[in-house]
Amino acid sequence: MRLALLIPLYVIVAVLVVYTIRHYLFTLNRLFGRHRQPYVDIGTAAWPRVAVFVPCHNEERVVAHMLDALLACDYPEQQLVIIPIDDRSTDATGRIVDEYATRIPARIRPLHRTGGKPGKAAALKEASSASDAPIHLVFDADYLPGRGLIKQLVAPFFDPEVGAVMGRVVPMNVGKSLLTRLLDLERTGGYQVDQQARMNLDLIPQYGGTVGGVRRAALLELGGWRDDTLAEDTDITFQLVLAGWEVVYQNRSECYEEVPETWPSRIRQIKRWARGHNQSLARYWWPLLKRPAHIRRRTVVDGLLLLGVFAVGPLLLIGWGLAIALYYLGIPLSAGIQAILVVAMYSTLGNFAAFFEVAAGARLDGSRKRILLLPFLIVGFLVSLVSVSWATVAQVSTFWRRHDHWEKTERHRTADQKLPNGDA
Amino acid sequence: MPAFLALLGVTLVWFLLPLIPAIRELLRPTDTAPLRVVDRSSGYVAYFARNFRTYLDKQIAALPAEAQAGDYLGKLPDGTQFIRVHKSAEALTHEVEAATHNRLVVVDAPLELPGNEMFLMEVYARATLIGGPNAVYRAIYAERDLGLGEGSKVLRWAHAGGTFGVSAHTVLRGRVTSDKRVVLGHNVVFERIGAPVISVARENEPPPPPPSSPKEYRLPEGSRRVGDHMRVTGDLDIPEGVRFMSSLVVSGTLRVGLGSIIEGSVKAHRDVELADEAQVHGAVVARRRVMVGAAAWIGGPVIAEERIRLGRDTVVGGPDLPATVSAPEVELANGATVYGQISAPVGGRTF
Amino acid sequence: MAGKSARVALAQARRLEGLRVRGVRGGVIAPHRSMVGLPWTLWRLVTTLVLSAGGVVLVVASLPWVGRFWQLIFERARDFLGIDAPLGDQQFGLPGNVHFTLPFIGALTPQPDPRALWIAGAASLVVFAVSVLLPVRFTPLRYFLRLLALLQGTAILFFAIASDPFPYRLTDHVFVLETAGLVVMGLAPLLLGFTLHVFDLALWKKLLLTLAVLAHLAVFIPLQVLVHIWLVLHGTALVMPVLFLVFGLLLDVMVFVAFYGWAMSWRGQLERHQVRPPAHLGRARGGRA
Repeated sequence: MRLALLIPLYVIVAVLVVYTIRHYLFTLNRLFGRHRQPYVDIGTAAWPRVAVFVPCHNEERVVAHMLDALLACDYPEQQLVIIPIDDRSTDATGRIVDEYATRIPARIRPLHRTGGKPGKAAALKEASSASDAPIHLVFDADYLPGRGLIKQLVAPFFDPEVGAVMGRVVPMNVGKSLLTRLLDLERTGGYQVDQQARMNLDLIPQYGGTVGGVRRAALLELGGWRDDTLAEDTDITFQLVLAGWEVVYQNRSECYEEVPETWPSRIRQIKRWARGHNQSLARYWWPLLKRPAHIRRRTVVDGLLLLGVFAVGPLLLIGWGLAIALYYLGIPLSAGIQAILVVAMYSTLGNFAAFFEVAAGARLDGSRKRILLLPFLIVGFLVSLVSVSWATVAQVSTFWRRHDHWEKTERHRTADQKLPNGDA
Repeated sequence: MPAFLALLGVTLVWFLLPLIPAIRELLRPTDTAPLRVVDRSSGYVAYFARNFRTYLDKQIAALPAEAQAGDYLGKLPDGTQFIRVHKSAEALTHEVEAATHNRLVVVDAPLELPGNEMFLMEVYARATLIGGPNAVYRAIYAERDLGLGEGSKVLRWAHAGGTFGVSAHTVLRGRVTSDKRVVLGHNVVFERIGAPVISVARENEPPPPPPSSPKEYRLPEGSRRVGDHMRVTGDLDIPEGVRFMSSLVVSGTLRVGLGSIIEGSVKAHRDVELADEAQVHGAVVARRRVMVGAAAWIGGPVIAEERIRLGRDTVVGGPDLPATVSAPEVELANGATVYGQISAPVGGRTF
Repeated sequence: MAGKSARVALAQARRLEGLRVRGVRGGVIAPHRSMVGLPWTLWRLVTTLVLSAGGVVLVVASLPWVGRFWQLIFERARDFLGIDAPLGDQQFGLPGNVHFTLPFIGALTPQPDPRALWIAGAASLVVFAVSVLLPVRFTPLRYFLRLLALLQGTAILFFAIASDPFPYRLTDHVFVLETAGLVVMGLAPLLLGFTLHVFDLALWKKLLLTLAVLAHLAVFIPLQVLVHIWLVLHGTALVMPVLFLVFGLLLDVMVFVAFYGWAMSWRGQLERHQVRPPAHLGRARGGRA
């Protein structure tokens, strides 16, 4: 009986150790390794046509700020069209985008959805045929792109192999609560270290669905956005990689976003991410494992680890359960078994390498003092762990259901709120 | 029970001790400002120059009347020491110590400097400024033409509203820009340059690429189409005098022969080597190096993750086709011309 | 003469370099945070290895003193708490002729009677109810309380229905905590080597932090164990699972994380000496063939 519990515990601990090593190597690479941002210095070019899509569902609090920011960008006016997608909004979003379109019809062409499948993926799928621009960028409505951001995000597409690009997301409502401060730390680790390391090591940086974009030719080749997923970003990332395109991460291309300010909002967000990501895991683990000729082995390994990122939570909980069961069964007190227990219990914290990644990222950002909050990250991990696991269990138990319910993230900004000024 | 409570209290206090900095930061935050997202300076090469100009305009506008014209030695309203030079460089001899100038220098009229000066603060020239040999400038802003003498050094940035001529053996650190043209001499070291035309030892416009009608090139077996480009595994050698009408991605090294034309963009996971008079109408991208022969023409950006070498009389971009050449190291031969921008953060040089 | 002019030239070069990289207010102009990295030096590699290995050696070598120190604390605490049980110690040996003893209190492990199970059950329900009633802004606390209630529930279930006796005595609990704590102490210098010493903090700060972590744990672990002992003696074996699974090793790790976070917030040498950090834009590796 003990063996039946120990073996899966060993396996789970081994998986956690692999992720630990991965985090650790990424952080070391980010600190000391050769840095890749080859497209960031392209400041002068014959800029191609770009369509910027802004999916909106009840975004009256934030959409005007977003449109103002896009209109203020330094991308050549005649080469840029902004397509706000009013996706079945019941508030003033539709009216606001129409007002902008009336004022600047040449640059803003809203699309109003009154029916069809709900959700961002479906909205993008429907809207993408509204423009034949070779580059499609996507921003969530709560984002605030800087003046030079569009050019920065378009620059990588001069490389014919690039299928998608992703910039760095920077929380602007950091100081609102402990939650926003913890999420800021998590984003720092995820972008400043994790994404950039994957770019440096020629692995798979993930297109994150906002502050980024895709090449239309690649999108068409793949059949467009999939609307049967909650994570169209993860989905397109792996579709692109499997088809032979590159996904590029550009650390310099920073953009403000609003992170959830309440725990329920955060839980809803991470559950959606988990379900969407797990959908991609189910779809692409086998095609990736079969390894098309153009994909290197290490890319396959990292791709599988990336796909499994939200499956780690439930694994951790199972590991904890196994450890508890073993405890009640009475483990013989030999040092080896104790060591396993130590590792298992320690690992249930979410492994220390994640702390290293976050702390390293914050130091690179020059934000030393916020690293003091590191112990409170355990709090965030606990909530994420439970939420992700719950979402996975619910997803597995309703796998027969074809459609997932899209829940949008709550906004807290007010229309007249002072926004952070990025200018020097 | 009281004894236990005392033990519990001591244990709790001891446990919380290392958490005190964290609790303090939680309750009295000192670091909650969002990161300052850079808005203007990245990608806008003349950012610092323009900022300086704006700053100086405001300062000078606030000066008293007697400081607004003629030779003047004094302070700007913000306390910065400055000297205004109206007609000749003699006014600069107020500064002693081996021609080291610790003041911001404003030059009103066209001026030619003797050389060997060290300007530790910015120099602003309302008219043409011709520097002498072996001078060192922290930064220069010239409203008209600007010339740097042989062996000069620029530490931070330099901008000319007119033509910016850089003599041989000059070191240009930071950003160098012009609203018209930058002409680089031999063995000039640079980092970032931005101008409608940047050329090496060439004062006039380069000729347009020669039209030609080479025969069409067919890719070898095994290549496949991905989206809007063709993909080739391994190295690819395109022979001379042919034309290929698509974008191309090669997993090894790409060599384009003499006079051949690619009507699209190219990328290689190792090197891209363009022979003399080769043309690529789109971008050229390499994971390692881009080596371009003489009189080649590239229509779009040139990007390499290690080094770019542009041969004699090679042209990147065009008058209506701005482009960027970007690599950690960039080498430009005589006659090479770039319409737009060059970025070489580790080091660029002309040869 | 040649030497003097070389010195003058060097001084001038340094001055110019300073001008190049310093802003108008005198601060160093660093590369953008998206590009900045850390310089790697041989000195840092050597000090990292020395501090890590040295820290582990220090822990192992000091085990006899740590054991005696814990023995002393146990003696004092037993009398202070009025625990009527003998004090004992267990001998341990490690390779390298390292022998040490760990203390224990030879008290019998009280087993829960049905009344204790009912009280524990009611308390768990109260804790769970509190977790439901707390406002959502205390969500992490709500989850934590539910976790506690759930774990205590498993203990109650075990004692209520399991046919086999509870496999641990109090002395087992004490030894596992003590040895696990020593393992954390031994791992701490290694972990700091991988995650802290690679940064450009001053050597004395790294050394101080390592010693602070070890000293703190050396005091905390016996105190923690003694609290557990009292709670088990008064709460019966029923509380052992929760104490072990939640208030054991987890707290030791939290202490480590707190120290680590504190150290990582310290100013580095590059910042202190106003040295421009690098952006690692060197040579590319070959792409795929």
